[in-house]
Amino acid sequence: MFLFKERHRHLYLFCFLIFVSCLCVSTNAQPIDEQATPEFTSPPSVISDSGHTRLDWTLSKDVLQTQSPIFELQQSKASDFSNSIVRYQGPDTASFISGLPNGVYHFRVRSHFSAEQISNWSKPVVVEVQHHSLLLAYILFAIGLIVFAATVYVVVSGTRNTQTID
Amino acid sequence: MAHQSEIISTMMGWTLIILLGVLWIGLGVYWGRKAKSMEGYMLAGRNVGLALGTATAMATWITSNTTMLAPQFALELGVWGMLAYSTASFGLFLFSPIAKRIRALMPEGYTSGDFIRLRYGNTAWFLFLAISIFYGFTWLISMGMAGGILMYALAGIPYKIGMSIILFVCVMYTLFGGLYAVIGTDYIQSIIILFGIVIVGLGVLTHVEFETIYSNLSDDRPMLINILLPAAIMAVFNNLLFGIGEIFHSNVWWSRAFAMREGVGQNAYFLAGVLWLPIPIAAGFIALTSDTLGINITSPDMVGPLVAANVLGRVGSIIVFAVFFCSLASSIDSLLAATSDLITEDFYKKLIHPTASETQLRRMSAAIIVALGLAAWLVCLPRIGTLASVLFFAGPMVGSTIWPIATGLYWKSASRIGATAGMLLGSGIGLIAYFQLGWYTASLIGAAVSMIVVILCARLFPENFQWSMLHETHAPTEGAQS
Repeated sequence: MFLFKERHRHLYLFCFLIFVSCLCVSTNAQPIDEQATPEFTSPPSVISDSGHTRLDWTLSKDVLQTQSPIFELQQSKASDFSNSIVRYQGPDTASFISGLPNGVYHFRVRSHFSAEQISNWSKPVVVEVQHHSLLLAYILFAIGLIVFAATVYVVVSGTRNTQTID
Repeated sequence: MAHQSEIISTMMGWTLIILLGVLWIGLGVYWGRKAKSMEGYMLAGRNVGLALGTATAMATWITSNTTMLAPQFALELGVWGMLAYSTASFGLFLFSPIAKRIRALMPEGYTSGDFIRLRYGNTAWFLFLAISIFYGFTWLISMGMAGGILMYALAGIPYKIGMSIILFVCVMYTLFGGLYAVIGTDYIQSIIILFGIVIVGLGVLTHVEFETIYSNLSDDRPMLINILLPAAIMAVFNNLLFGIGEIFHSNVWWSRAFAMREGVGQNAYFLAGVLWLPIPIAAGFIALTSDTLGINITSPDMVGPLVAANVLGRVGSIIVFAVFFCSLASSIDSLLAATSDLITEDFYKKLIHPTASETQLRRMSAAIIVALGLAAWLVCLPRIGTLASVLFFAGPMVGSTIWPIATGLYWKSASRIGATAGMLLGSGIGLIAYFQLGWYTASLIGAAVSMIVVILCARLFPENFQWSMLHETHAPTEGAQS
């Protein structure tokens, strides 16, 4: 009886140690804390007059050295991210956004370490797109057309004249 | 630099770099044996025929600008951007009659600097040299950067190492072979580039349908298919004039005009323009498929290589790698050779050592090629911006040279003061536009201001220039080899 109890006591101790070590291991493998949440390195507010910008984000080096997360970049026209779309999902730490019409766009990113291990969303970045005025664009287009036409005229007429002289 | 998923293994990337590098350096040494005199080294004996002339003009114009910037234009400025890029072929078309005129006026000319010095005098010449060398150096930097970006995007080779290798290879074969090696390698490179672009185009068309691309663009990047995208409308003539300015002023194109046999230049430049025209449209189109193919773009100048390599898979990626390597090498070598010629001929020979022998000139030319390569390498080390932002910084200066060159070749009344003031004011006001409005307006403003100044000065202070003054003979120098 004593021997049985003694054996069980060791068994209980062994199980307890295994449980504690598992806890420790699992705590190391589940860094779903602030370190696991990506941060934008782009400024929190971006103004674009051509409808494109690049969004960069990063994670702490400690996390990136041990794990390879998949990032999810979300875009929405609302600050509460209702009606949002996934703009990118993958291992890259930047995404080039272009072709946006006038408006205000909100972006946020989070990391996926596994199906269950997902970080919190990052602080959002706000991109305000206000394209150049069309009037300015037309004026510059017209100036360009005049300069080009005049250049063609100089070369073509000059070539004709020199051929006549030759 | 942001993490970007690579396409081929780093080992494969290294193998390709070594194979292509050894091939180009070997060819440079082989062709270098032909260059026995300074004229042979700098101008390939003034005996380049139509096939080689067309190939070298086309290959030089298919640079990182075409293969990497045209897709960037499409991704940033949409369909307009893609078409805007193809307008750079007008530079080749317009240079076609100019090449003939240059050969007729200056049968013994060496550089574009020679023309400005003889036509407009020393003040305009110094300003022109500053613009031309600055532009050449900026172009060189943009392509060194493109080499590093390419190696990293395709094979995961670190940017600094990739950039260093491509610069080293180009410096070595240009050093050994001069313009003979540049034109010879351009010929092979143009065949590889054309072959590769056809394969990439077919690959893209078999992977995605137009309707799907249109639908995805409408949802995710609607302004790219909007005909009223203001930045794109501004960019159309900006790019066109940038292209014209690049070709009109740069010694890369003048040295080829001097190197081609009489009567060849006009046809060679026209044919090169025709062959080049569809390439940026094809290269730009593939960028618009990136969303449909599920490819994330971290830097817009990487979109072309990434889409092409993704579409063709791992084996096809080797072709893509070779095409991009060739397109970069064909331009870096031309720039090294042409800028070195400009500095050797216009600075060293004209200003420092007028009685230099051919041996001394050749040594100086070689030293300048190495120095240019080293300087470009140092500036490329920190990746200072996207290709467009680096290259188009020289845009206003380049645009401001169009009218001094064009009127200088055809108008007797074009004046020294007009050329100098046109380049100065065009560059200055164009740079203001660069910072205030954006890079897509700078060349346009620079060219427009320069045009107004040149026309006004030709009216107010007309000259009666004698064309015979351009016919400068190069007396045999001390110790010249026959």
